[in-house]
Amino acid sequence: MIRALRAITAKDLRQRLRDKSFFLLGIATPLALAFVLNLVFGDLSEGELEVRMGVVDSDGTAVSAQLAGNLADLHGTGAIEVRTLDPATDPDAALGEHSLDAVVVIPQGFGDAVMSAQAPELALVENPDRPVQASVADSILDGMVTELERTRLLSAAGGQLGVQPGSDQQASDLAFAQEWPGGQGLDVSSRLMAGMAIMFVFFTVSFGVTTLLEEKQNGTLARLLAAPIPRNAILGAKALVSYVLGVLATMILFGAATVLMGAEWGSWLGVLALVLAACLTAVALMAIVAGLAKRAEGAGAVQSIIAVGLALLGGSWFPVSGEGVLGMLARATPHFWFLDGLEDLVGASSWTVVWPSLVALVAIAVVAGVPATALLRRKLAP
Amino acid sequence: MKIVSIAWHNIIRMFRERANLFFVLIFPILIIAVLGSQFGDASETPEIGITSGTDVAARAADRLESTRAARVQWFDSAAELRDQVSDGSPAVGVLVPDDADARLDAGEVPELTILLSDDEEAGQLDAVARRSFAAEAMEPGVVRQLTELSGQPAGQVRDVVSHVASGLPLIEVTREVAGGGEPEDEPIGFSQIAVGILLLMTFLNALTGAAALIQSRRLGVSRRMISTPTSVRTIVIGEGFGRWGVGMFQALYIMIATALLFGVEWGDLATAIVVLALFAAVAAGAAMLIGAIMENDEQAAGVTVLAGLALGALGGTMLPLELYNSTMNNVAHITPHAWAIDAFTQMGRHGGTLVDVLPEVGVLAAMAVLLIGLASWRLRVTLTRV
Repeated sequence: MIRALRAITAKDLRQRLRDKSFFLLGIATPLALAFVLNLVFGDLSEGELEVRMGVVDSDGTAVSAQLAGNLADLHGTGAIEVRTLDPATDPDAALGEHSLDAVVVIPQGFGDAVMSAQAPELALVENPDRPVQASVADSILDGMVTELERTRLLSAAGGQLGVQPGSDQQASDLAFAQEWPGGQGLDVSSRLMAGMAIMFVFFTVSFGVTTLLEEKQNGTLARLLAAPIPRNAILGAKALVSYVLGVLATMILFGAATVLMGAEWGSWLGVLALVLAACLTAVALMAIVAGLAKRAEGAGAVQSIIAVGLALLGGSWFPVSGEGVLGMLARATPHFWFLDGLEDLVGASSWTVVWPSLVALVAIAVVAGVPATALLRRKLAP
Repeated sequence: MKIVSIAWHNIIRMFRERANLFFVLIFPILIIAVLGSQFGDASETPEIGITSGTDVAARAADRLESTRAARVQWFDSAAELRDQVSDGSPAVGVLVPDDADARLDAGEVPELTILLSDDEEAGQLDAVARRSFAAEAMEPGVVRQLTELSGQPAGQVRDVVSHVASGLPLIEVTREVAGGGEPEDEPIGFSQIAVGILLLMTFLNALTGAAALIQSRRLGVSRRMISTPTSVRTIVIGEGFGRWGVGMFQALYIMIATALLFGVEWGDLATAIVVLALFAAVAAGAAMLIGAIMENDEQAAGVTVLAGLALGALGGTMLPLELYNSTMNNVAHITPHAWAIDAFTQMGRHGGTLVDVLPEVGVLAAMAVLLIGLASWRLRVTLTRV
């Protein structure tokens, strides 16, 4: 049994590594996709959204100059650009002319209204093509307005009390601390890489499983069955080859992400445990399809549907919330638990935080693996 | 006639494969539904969890809800809130210490703890929460500062401040959109997702036709076609039309299905079809070119899937182009996807017609002519050689 298992495994491994598909689909493709996705999504998560604002001060009072000045001071913080425009500028035209996202208009009489008990008004003219940037501009302005209201209250009440607070009195009334109770999780590029890795491992694994169908079509399976080899050894070898290649490809991808993108995963022991468990589910699920399919081509097609479908549901492409009907579906995918485990692992002190994920993954593997074995054993007929 | 027949058989061939049925008919609708429910739900206001029991928290919650910045979920204990935030729902929590009111009154600065989950919205909600609490702590803060400065008793200062505050109307910010219209806070709507997925899938499915073209050559179908009284030119055009037909079918299917299921509006229909026809032509040209230069259909299948996904991601089908930084935005416009999205944005947001999207249409047409020209030239060579 052991000798036969070893011989078939070695033969299949050699065959698969000689064929370029393992490197192409197992390693090169997910790496390339993660790279492109990272180019596109990477910036956004680091708060590098470019926001270009304009300020039109038609008021020309000390108050409006202060507000305009505060806004102008923001220029260069993060990816914010602020352009001070001529008081007579038409904001609508300025949006197009200077390709701005939003223009703050301080109308005439603003300063007087602030100093007296009238209702001061400001306008924010937004670029209809850039709603996201415009709403960032809106919240920036919102913060400034609160500050201005505070200064106004301070000086008005101060006047009644006979004190003149300086204009530099920017005290904060509350202190804020930040805490991440669930850990900060993976950064975007690591998450994308992990998502692609778990998605493509299903493809890598599926090739190994479907070789059983190919051997049947080619007639080599009949010869194996005729030889004094236990049937379990044939099945075992096919599963083992798929599993080894799956684990290998995934670990190479994680290593590559660490070296090339500086990704951080936390404990490697935890990563390995998750990869080992996730590949188990991949082998089991892909084996069910191979067990049901009649021909290798048919199996390949259904396998790619399942691989892409599960990846989508499970959050390989976009994080899913885990709530509602979609959340329930997501929890049925190995992808969800694999990524969830990685998210927990990154900030954790010990690799044991991945236990819940491991349990879920092994459960999925068992639920899928038992029928898969039964189905595939039926295939082992000449 | 022969052209139509070649094209028709290419389309039939695609649908014979059951997996293709899934990828063309079900998968795009599924992905639009998933993404749409995830991002596109405009009615969904984000939630912020707050520990209850203080005045300042109640006032800040009122402010959050009245500005519709967030809905507030109350929690009795800090431990419970921590637990829920660590599960990601709510995405952000604010721990307000029980003595916050007393400390504010006493002229001290209480410390609030913002709990953040790894949710994408967390950073933004953090800022929203801080602003509303800061606004509500303003009055006690001013009292504290003026008490220090004036040396008068705190109670007296508080009376003056609250009297003055009640007489000062708030500064109002009016938001207007240039050219009219309502400002929208939920920019990624169903229609934007539908446009992106439509372009992604149309290009992808037309492009993967490259593998079928290689198969035709390898199986000798092309050779046999040439042996009939059919000119190479007709075959090339027929093959091209086949890919184009697949692309157009996919595009129109998604258009109709999303209009019926999700009520997506596609703008001026005639213009939309012109843009899609040109976009599908670019995809068909790319498919023919790959089909003409590559020899191995399995490798071509891999390359086309990768290229289709990568170009789609780069071209703004997965993330709105307006969120790209300027460099990436320029890079994105090497893809036909970005130009088509620009055209649809013009049509959707500004009710643009063919005249308004002429630049985009021109670029797409130029890309199509270039690719189809190159592909026909290469295909003539390879078809007659095999």
